[in-house]
Amino acid sequence: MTDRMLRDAFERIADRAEPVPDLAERALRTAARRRNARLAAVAAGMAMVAVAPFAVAAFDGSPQRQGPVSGRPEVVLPSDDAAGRAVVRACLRGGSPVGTMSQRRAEYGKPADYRLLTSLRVGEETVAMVGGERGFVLCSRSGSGGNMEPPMFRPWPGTRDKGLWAFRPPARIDAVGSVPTRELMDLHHVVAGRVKPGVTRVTVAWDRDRTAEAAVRNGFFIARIDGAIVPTNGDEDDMGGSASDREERVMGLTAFGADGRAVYRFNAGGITAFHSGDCGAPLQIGRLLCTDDPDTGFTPR
Amino acid sequence: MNAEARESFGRFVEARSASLMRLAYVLAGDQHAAEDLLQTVLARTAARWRHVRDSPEAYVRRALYNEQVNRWRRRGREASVAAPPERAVGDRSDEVELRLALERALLALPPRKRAVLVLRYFEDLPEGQVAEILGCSVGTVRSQTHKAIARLREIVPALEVRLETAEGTR
Repeated sequence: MTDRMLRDAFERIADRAEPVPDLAERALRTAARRRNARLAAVAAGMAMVAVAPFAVAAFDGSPQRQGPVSGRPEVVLPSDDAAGRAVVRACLRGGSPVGTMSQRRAEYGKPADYRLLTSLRVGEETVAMVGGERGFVLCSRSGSGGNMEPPMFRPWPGTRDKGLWAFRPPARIDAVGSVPTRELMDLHHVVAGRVKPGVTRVTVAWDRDRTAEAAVRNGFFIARIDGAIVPTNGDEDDMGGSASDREERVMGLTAFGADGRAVYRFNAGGITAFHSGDCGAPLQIGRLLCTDDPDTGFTPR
Repeated sequence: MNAEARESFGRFVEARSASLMRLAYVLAGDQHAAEDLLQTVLARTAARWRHVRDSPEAYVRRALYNEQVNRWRRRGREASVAAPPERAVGDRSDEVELRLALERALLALPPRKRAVLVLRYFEDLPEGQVAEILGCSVGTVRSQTHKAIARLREIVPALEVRLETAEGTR
């Protein structure tokens, strides 16, 4: 009564499954509906982008567009050191990042191709952004442990052939999402991105008047607030049913120069999640964040 | 999808739906969630039929695991805490009660831990293959298995003796 006991228990559970009529037809209808929805979103999205105001906020306050860059792309990653390498290994769990099917993908690079970009401490835990020339991984660790979830690869949104800083505004968001904490029902809600030289400080604002100071380092930043997993039926005491991440809405970010003055504000519009891996999918939320001009912001007066 | 592709997709689903539904049920824990899980994966399979039609079963089974674990990891942590058994089982001669308690305890495990046990004990796959499917290391598979069994013992203390060798024999 060992392995057999577990196998038999699963078999008995599986025996409760009832046949589902018309499964193939239902799947085909669902696939068709999703395809149609994506096509509709493409049309709507294109219209929205076409009329979106292009309020350019340049670094020095004057309108300025990144000029064409010739020669070798300037992808400047932070220098490598032993401590950084240890964090990278832990965050990547010693191998290549995983794709959307949670499988290791060698084409995303090996740990040696990645650097610790920036990180912040939350008690005993660390939330970090590690990245390479093609993309990055968000990571949460407890103590010196490994990433608490598989290292999900996120490509750098926007163009990469002109380097990682070819985006137009002084700061840009590359990721909005959650990473686990040690506690099953808690999360870190994270915003991560890049800043151009001269930006020394970034704050990120969430709904309900919450603002967090980002860790800015090497031209990258990461900020977080407490997230949580809540029952979807809204009953905090009933954990027998389904649950989902509590919705945390990102309202915007503010970038500050060395003199402490705000040089740029970005209106994030209450976005709750952004995964650059979905940028090829027409339904991507925060579609503007997929571009080099992820900007609906303005220069503060 | 053209008529020929629809037909071959339909034939595949008709032939394999019972087996796939059983797997979806042990992963999701109830009929409704299992139907939703399987239909989500089959809709994705239909959209990618041109690429997966040569070995659709492997694709669907892998997608079922990943979809269920991802739902938990990214959006859901669904059904992470189901109702525990009404009472601990103390009488080892009461095999029926023990079996029921074990089933309830398995369904009370978080989906990722349950998925590891399903892969190892229901699908009877070696650790390396489990790690490959779940996108983690063999060490993680072992630790998840250990934790899952520890959790089963916690929920149903009477299982302690019965499951001792389960950990050691795999």
